Amino acid sequence: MRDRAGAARRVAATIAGVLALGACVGSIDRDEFDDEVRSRGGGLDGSLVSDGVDAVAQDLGVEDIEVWSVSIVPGAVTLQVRLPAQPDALDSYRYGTSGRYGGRGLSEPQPLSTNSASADMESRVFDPTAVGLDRLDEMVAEAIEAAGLAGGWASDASTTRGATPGADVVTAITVTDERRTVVVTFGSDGTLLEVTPR
Amino acid sequence: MRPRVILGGLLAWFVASIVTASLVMVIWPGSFKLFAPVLCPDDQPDAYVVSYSMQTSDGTSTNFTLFCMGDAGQFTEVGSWIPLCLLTAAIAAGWALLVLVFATLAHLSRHHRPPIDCGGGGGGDTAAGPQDAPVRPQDAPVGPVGPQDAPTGPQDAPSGVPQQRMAT
Repeated sequence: MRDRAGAARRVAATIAGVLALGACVGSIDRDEFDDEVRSRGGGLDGSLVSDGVDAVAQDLGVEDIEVWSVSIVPGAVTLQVRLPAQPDALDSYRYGTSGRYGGRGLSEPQPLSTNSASADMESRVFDPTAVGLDRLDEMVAEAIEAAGLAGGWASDASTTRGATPGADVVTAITVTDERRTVVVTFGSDGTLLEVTPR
Repeated sequence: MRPRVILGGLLAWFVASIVTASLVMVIWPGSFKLFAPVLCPDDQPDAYVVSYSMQTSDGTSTNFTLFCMGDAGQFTEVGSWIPLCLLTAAIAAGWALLVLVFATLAHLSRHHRPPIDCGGGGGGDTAAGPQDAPVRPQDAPVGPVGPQDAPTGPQDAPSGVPQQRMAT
């Protein structure tokens, strides 16, 4: 009887030891994952923009949407979208990959305050599919090279129309390393306009 | 076979598969990467399993999430549930295969039982046990085992290995 109890204890101890030693074999923590993303360039994903635009259009039940801005971070894109039924109002949609269930998904829209923006809404909104964002992946690679930061990565990108009348829609890509930040801007045709250290 | 036996077997199979998959996930979360070829987009073939630890009222809880990554660091979060379901399915298939192999072996050994050599020899690995134990009834008639065998008889023992005792 004592032998059996001893054997059971040994088995339990072995299982506990295996669980303790073996836990996390083949996995990394989130910081290591983020380091890997940065070492490859930052993870800004052009396909998220096109997929996000399609998802918002589907949610609103329209073919094309107009946006005030497009903001891209690793794994997600945020669109400030003009509402077709309420042309002086904007909703913020986030499209990205997160959550235990995985996959990509569209968040619930969040209403935005537009007290000062509504006046020139018509002249500021733009079609997100016609401002060079289909070239985002190439623009990110070009921005990292133009920034000249050793080990730098693209941390975010933002597409808006300038406030001056008739201004072009520009995409500003932020490239950073651990010490410095450089903003590289591109025109709506995807050409590099400016490299600005911050 | 009785429906209750079939249901019990299926339930045991289901529970064993889930328990085994959970253990495998905890010991080797990297097993999720095995399913990357079917779960990851073509342009994001590199799989990573990221562990998140959270403090809860019961202590520390850790979950594992499969990510797919592309050359430029673009990534997609596959999540935990789909890889875990696939792992469970794979392990269930493994269990089924194992049971099938053992059942086949048991069936073969029951139907091709070697003649008992009462003169000793060939029983070296069955030396344990009281030597004066009554010799079990040998060689029940070969054929389908029906409900008529229901009373607890030696032939109902789950072992498929023919039992031999050395007669002294």
